[in-house]
Amino acid sequence: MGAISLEKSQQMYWLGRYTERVFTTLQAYTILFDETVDERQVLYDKFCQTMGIPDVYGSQAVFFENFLFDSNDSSSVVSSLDRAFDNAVVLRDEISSESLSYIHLAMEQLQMARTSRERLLDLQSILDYLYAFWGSVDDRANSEVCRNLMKCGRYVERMDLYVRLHFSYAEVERSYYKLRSRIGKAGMPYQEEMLDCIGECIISEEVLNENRQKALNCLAQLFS
Amino acid sequence: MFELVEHTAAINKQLARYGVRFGIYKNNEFHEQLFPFDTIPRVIPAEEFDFLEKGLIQRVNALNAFLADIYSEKKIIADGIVPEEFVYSSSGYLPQCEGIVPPNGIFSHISGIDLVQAEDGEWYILEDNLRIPSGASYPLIARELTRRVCPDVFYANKIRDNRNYGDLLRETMEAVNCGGIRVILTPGRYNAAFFEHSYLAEKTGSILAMPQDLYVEDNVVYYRSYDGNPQRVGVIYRRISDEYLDPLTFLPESLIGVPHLMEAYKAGNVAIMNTPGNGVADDKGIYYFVPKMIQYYLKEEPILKNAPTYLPMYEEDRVYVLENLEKLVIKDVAEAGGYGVVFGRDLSAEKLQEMKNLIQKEPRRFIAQEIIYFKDLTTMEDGVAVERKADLRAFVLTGKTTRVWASGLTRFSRNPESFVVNSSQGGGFKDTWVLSR
Repeated sequence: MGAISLEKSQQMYWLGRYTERVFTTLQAYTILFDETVDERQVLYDKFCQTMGIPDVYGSQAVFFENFLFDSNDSSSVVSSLDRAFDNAVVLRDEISSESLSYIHLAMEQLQMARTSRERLLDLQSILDYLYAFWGSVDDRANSEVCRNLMKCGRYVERMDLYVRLHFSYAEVERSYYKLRSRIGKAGMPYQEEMLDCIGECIISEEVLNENRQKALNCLAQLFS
Repeated sequence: MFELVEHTAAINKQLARYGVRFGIYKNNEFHEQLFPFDTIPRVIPAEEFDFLEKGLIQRVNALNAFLADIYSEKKIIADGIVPEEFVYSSSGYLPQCEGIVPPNGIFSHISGIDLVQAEDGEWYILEDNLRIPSGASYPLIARELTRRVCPDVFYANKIRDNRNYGDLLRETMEAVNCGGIRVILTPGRYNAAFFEHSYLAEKTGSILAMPQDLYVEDNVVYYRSYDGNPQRVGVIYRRISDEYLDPLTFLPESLIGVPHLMEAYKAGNVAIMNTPGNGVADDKGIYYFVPKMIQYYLKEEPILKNAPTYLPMYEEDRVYVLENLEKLVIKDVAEAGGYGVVFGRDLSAEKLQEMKNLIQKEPRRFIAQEIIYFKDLTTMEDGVAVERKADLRAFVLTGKTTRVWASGLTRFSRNPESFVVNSSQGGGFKDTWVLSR
């Protein structure tokens, strides 16, 4: 083994991105949902704004439903999970049936969550399956290259979402160094100055707060 | 083994978890669906399997000899055993393959031979599939998951392990490898059998390649690697039909082929499994002649029987077919997947006459067979045990030697009135247990 086509390398990268997108947006969704329990005010529009997604929902109730389950909404969790699956299913020989099965389980769990009276617990199970997916990939992926490409995608997505969603500075900083150590191993051509630019934008919490958009712009140009 | 029934839900859940699906196109839309699995297996006693094994090896060896002959000296035609019009008018005969000797002289590496067991216990060959027979992955993964769900059943029954299919396939690929990596070539994600392609790639440790991943340079096939270091390909287990394989040799409009692949193959630089052109030997018309091939090439009597078959192209047979059409099953030789199969007894007087006219007009297009009343297999339907028609696809692999996988795909009809078992027409599948004693 060891030979990976250009298309597969892209699928690995995007599998990493989409699984991370599902994971982190579910976490953010859960936090937002929890906040509305006490505050009872409309918060979802700010979430859409920070995520950079169009507010097509109209109300908080519609948002909480559709952001999870509307497959016609390209920003929804179900759409991201479907895209993760589209990339994973063609990589069975690289990531193993066992790893792929966790994506299946997450998809099934998301469907169940739709009619569940314990929705947040179902969402927790999806996070568990995604953790299991990543553990399985670590253990079973055929090659180091595959792991590196997937993790590279994962940390790019994580950086993007952590910066947008104002995750703690420590978490942003940690994910930057994870990305930095992985990107060189992935073997994908990237713009080193953009990576350095991101580093400069997160040199301290204050600098990050002033340069969030710049950091996101540099991230967007990392592979251009 | 009936205790497996109570675990049906758990086993099906596992099959869904691992994505055991097949694709189907309806109204030009791709749908993926679970392949209905019945937990009650087909059981083949050890002695019966020994008999089948001998017969299958004999048949596949004769078919390989036929293919080698047809694309070279054509002695079987010269000696009047197979009429030449049957060869040259077959859509599976590819003149582009004339004179090509594949690595180690093997044409059919993976043969899917369809059998049925009649009510009296006699086995009959229904069809040979020597192009890209599919289906091995289903009993392979079903066994794996069934063992996991209810291991006690496997303690109590002495069953030959079928989980070696990946090893057998890898050895078969290596037996003809011309020096390079092994790839399984799939037309893509939306092929009906994509699950199988990807699963077998995993089980054989081969690379699952899409057509655009391969290219040919100086008659050598390479896998396009993202890091700019192409890998030489030594063997391709292709899951793409002959006509789409190389647009420069076959259909020029093919978008899923690899240009110049046939040149690399002709030069002996890559093995293609199964070899292009095999369709001439699994043609429904040629089927009639397989027992004669066994006698001709191997100087042996056929161990396994064909279903009694008539070729309307022969006058004597045509007279019989026209007189007895309502008792026979008629097959269009150009069709596959259970399509083009008509039971004379199901036709109205008007349709029967239409069919007779068609047979007289295009006698080469059809074969007619006596109806074999299959031994029904017990199957669960909505929690109730029912009897259903079933066939068996045996997988015969030819590498250094010819071997029969001690399992197979048992397909059953979910329609009580139907003999058609194909998944594309709603059929389900069972595991096939070969007892070890």
